[in-house]
This record gives sequence, C-alpha cells and structure tokens, in this order.
Amino acid sequence: MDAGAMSRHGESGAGALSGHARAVGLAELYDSHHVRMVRLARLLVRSDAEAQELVQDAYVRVHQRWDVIEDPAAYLRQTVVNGCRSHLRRRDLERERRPLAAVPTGIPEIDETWAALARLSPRRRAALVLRFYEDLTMAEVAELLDCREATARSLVHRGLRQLREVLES
Amino acid sequence: MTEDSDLFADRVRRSLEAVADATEVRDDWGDIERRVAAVDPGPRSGRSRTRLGVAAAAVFVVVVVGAAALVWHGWVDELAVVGDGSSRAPAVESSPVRLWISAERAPAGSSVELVAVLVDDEGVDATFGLEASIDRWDGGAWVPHRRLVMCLPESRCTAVPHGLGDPMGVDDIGLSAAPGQPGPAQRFSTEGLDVGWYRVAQRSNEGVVAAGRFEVADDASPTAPLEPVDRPGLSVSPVLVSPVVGAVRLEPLVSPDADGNLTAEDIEAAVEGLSETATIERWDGRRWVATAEVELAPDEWPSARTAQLPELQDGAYRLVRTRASEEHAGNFWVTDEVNPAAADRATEPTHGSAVESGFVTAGPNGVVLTGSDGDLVEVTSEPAAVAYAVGTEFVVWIAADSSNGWVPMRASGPVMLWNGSESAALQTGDGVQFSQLLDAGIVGGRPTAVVAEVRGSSPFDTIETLVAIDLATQERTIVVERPAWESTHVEARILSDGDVLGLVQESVTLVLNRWTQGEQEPTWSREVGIDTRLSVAVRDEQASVIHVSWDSADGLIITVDHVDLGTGAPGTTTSVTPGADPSGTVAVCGDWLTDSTLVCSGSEGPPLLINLDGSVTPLDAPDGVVLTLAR
Repeated sequence: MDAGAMSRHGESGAGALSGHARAVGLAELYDSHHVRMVRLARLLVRSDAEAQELVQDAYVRVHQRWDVIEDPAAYLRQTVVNGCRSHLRRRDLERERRPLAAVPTGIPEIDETWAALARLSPRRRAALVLRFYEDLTMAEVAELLDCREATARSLVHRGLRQLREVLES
Repeated sequence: MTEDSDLFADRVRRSLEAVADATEVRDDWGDIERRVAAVDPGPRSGRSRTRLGVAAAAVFVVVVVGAAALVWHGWVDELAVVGDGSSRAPAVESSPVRLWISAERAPAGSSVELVAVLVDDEGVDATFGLEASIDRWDGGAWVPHRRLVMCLPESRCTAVPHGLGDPMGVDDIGLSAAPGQPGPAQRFSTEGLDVGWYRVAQRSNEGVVAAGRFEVADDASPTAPLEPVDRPGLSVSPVLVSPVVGAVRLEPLVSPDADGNLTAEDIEAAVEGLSETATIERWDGRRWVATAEVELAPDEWPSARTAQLPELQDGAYRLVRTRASEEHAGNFWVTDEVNPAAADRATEPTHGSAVESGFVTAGPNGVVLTGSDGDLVEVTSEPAAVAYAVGTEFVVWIAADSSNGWVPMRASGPVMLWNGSESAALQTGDGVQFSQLLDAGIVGGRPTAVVAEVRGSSPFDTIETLVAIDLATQERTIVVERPAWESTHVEARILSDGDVLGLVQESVTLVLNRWTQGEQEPTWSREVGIDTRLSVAVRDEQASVIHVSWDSADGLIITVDHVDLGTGAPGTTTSVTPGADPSGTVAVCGDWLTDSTLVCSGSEGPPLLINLDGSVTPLDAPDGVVLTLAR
C-alpha cells in the first residue's frame, strides 16, 4: 500500500499535481489507511474520539503538504504519531488524569495487558505500539519518535520489562 | 530472546491488535473534505464528486473490518515471509544486553574478521562466557548453524566458527559490561559462512541472551581490517566510543613466544620508543585515512597511555603509535549506541556536592551570589524568578510573583541589575509593557544580558524585541524584532559571538532558533518539542535541549537532545532516569556544570546536579530556588 501510494504520487511529478489529482490522491489514501491510522492513534491516545480527531487533523495536514511530500502514506503515519504525542503532552500539561481505559474486549488476558499498557509512559507505549502493532523496525520506530535507534531499543526493552512487572505484580 | 520473552512479545502484539480491532472507526471523509475545502477551496467540486462513490464503500469497510482485520493482517505477514524472508532477516530480539557487531554486512567469498562487543543497556550486571552461537536465517526462522569461542584482545587470536558437533575448548572467563558501557572486543571470523543472514548470540550465567546480526553478501563493501594478531599492537578501551566525547586507554598487545612465555620486560621492550602521539585513522571503505593527531598521556601502568579523542563521526577507526617505520595500532569504533557519559566519566573531575565555579540563586527570599571562593553576597531580598551572574561583578534578575509557588516563579518584572554595589531597574525601550529576562553572558568581553521586551496595544499588534544589553553601559542592541502574537520567547542562551539561541513558543510547539543581530529570519530553526518543561543549555559551543518529564514507573526522566550550533541539526540523544527527585519537581535544567552534569532546579527541594549516568547530587542551596552558574 505504501509503495503504491508513493509511485502513484511520484508519477505525477513533484509539485505538479492538480487540485483534482490531489483530492483523488487524498481519497485513495483515506480508503487505504484510514482504519489503520485511527486504530494506531487509538492505541497511542487511548480514546476513540480523540484518535478520530487526530487522524482527521493529519489528513488535512497531508493535503496541505501533498505537492511536496514524497510518500503520503509515510507522512500520514508520521503526522498521526506526532499529533498523538503532542496531544498527550498537552493532556499531561493540563494535569488531566485519565482513568484506565475501559475494558475493551472482554478477554481477560488481552484486557489485563491493555490495562498494563495504559500505565506505561506515553513514549514507552508509543514505542511498543509502533514495534508490535505497526511491526516497524527499531530504526523506523526511532525515526517516528524522533530519537536515536538505541533510545528506541531502550524504550522497547524497558516498556516490555515494565509491562511484565505490572502484569506479574 | 528466550522463548518466554517471545511469548510475552506475542501477547503484547495480540493485545494491541485486539484492542485496535475493537476501536470504533467512523467514516470521517465528509469532515475531512470540508476542512480541506476550507483551506483550499479550489478543487472542492471535483473532490466531492470523486468521493461520492467511495464513501459508502468506506462505511462498509468500517463495519466488517473488525472481523476481517486479523485475517488480512495474517496474510500480509505470511506474504512478507514468503517474499522477503529468505533475503532479509528480522532484527534480533530485544534484550537488556546487546551484542554489537562491527559490521552489518561482510563480503562473501573470504574470511572476514569482525568484532563483537557486549553492551549492557540496563545495568543488569550479567556475566557472559566466551562461547557463542551462530544461527542462520532460513527465510522463516533462525536455525543453529555454527559455534564459536570468542577471542579477547590479549589472546591474540581470531575465533573461527566450528560445526555444531565439533568439540571446543572454552576458557572459563567471565565477561561483563558496566551499565551503559561496552565490554571488551571479541574477535571472530566469518570463515565458512555462505551468503545469508547470521545471528551471533551469547548467553549469560543469569540466562540473559545478547545477540547481534550481520549479513554475508556478495556485494558487501570491505569491512575495516582488524590489526594483525601476529605482531605487536594496541588494545583500545573502551572499544566503542561515543561521538560526543571519548577518553580511551591504549594498552600494548604483545604475543608470547613459542613456548607461551611473556614477561613484563618483553612488553616494555615492545613499546619502548613508541611515539607519544597517536594518529587517529578512519576507515573510508577502502583504506585508512588519517583524521587527527592526539597527544598521549601517561597511565598508571607504565606501558599504557590514555588519549582524549576529539569529536568523531560514526565509523571504524584505529589509533596508531609509531617507532621509525614500525606501527603499533589498535581498532576502535565510534557509535552513538553507547552512553557518552561512560567515556566521559574517566576524565571528569570530581565536584562533590558543591559548584566550585560560582553561582547565583533566585527564589522567594531573594537573590544570593556565591563566588568561586564560597563568599556569599545577598543581592536582594525581594522575590526573584531567575538570576544570572557575570563573574561576581554583575547580577541581573527579574522580580517575581511568588504567589503561585511554582518554580520558576512567575516573572513579574522589572528586570533588575546589581553592579557590585547597588541595584536598579534596567532601562527598557519605549512603550515596553513587559520584559522577560532570558540570559546573560559575555559577548566580545562585555557583560551582556538578553531580554525579550513586549509592547503593543492589542494582542494582534504585539511586538517582541530581543535586546542584548551591555550591563556595564546599559547600551542596547536589538537582536531581532518580531510579532509576538504568533510566538514568544520562553528561554534563550546568548552565545559568545552575540547570536542568541532562542526557544520560541509557537502555539503548542517549541521551536529553537538561532538569531543573528539584524537578521529578521533565524540562521536556522528547529522544532524541538511541545513540553513546557524544556530548557536550553550551552557548553563549549555545544547546545542541548533538555526535556524534563516524569512517569509513575521511572520517576524523573531527563532527556538531552544535542543540537549542532552551526546548523541546528540534531545530534545525539541521551535519556536518563535518575528515579527519585529530591527537588520535588525538577522544572529547569539550564546549565551544564561539566560535559555530563546538568544543573537543575525544582519547586520544593534544593537544586540538583544530575549526571547523565543517572546519579543525582543535591546542592548546598535553599529549597525551591533556581540556581544558575556564573557566566
């Protein structure tokens, strides 16, 4: 999907897309990525409604930058992750203490793990989500979290360890 | 990674997928379309028509995707294995201890010598043996392939892969790495390894598995050659060095005679007359290229030397000492995958619990200057949000509103100046409604403060002016003037050339700019985060952005992002979790005491020295003050 989006975009020539083509491209990007992106955002911010809003914002940003970005799908994901990080920090700054996420599936093992994930710091949770949900490499996780690969690796190590401790306690 | 860890990672993966699948996803296209059209109305009609046909389909996808997603995802995984797995192996499993390999790719067709180094990221204090396994990626799994007994530098050998059933003698040597630091270099070869992906793994007595991965490929570039083991050489430790800073120790490597004998006299003879400087050479992919010359310093062991390395880019290096036409060399590698504090500690002076260079504190009870000799001067007893001292001759501070009890206290102005004998408000520009003191320093030998002055009659015509003020003459120099309704400076550092590194709040984003006097646009600009708890610190013309955060598991978390002062490009990032936060809530870390020690202030406890190794030292200063080092 990503490769297709990239080549489709590339064929049109950088900066040469008409408004119509841009709109069609955005629509295709929406079709191919919307569900996945909302789910990713949901895992990061733990709220369906907020995830939906953040992803919507991301599409608007992608549209604004459409003519200059090389890979709209990758840019969309980066924008979603950035938006979620920003959102979480704002929320933290507002001293908003969120209750643990509601039981989402009714399957004990999964819900316990999710509850434990919710107790991780946003950065660690993001690292785990990107590594294990998005199946990204450490290098890709690092790029999305704007950190060094070693830092990303450490976030995943420590996230898993903390998760295990929480579950075992 | 152990089977148990694999299972746990799978559990996390399953949970994330299940929760993701349970997400309620509504079709937002209509909203997106309206928002896009509001920004870019031109193509609206065409896009609307285009979407009419697909909107209903999108709703359908949303309804059924909860059940279909796992199946679909499974297909993708399966396809990835079939189509890609035979050529590219996955990353090795995460573990608290990594096995760093000196090359990710090695040329096929010849035996290539590589180095493996244990790196303990989390300080688990595990002890490893020399035995290692080599697994080969078969397109779907790692399959046991060879075994190794690693060679340490003193052994003067290179480990050769053995068959799985071959008998091997293993010296009972324990290897460990201090937290965040690399262990010794372990030398092995790729002899007998065909084209493919390989995983090298060592298991500790405690059950920790450290693994690294490399590929043997026909088109791989030549790896940096290791120094021969059959002639005298050097052991460089640590063998992995941070690009930021590095002090290394050079020890002679001398092979024993045919009978296995090696005496201290043999070693002394081998190093006698070697140069007291060493050349640093970098491997450029084809040959060694000299990049720097360093002075060597004596070591407590007469045959060894130490060297302080300059800043080096990532790569393979060797240090070369010479004697006539003879070379003694040792390999080392520069990588940002090691903690810079590790190497830094070796050469860092001990500061104890006090700051020896002079400092000033600002707080509810006023401003106190402490000279380098320890003498105290009460500059004012009025509340102050922050103060900066230039030597012991000038102190500049901003008066504070102490009612909110937060550090830094809310600055209420005015900006005040003490010149060694008396205090007065700094003069402001015409029409200035509020001044924010941002920093002070020495520019061209002159004591200089940098102040943001804000003026304007409404929020939409507010202008912020960054002004550099000579504290001796109060001569004012405008650095930059810009609309303040879109952004305001929250922190800045004045550089020795008069440029100002300014942290600007733009909506919820914090942007770091380098301003040059008279230039309306910054020399460079870089988004650095959205925390309000960000500080900027400059030391030795190196800038850092310090993020302070806290979580319930780790407590205090300090993340330091280095920034290239010339270009604004990001450098290394170091994150430390000192854990306990004796200051109450660390809010500001605006000065470096040393290359690895930050000066931080909090709301309740005393100011702190926080080292990048995680150690915390409370300073002998009142609780709740902001401490800055004298400039």
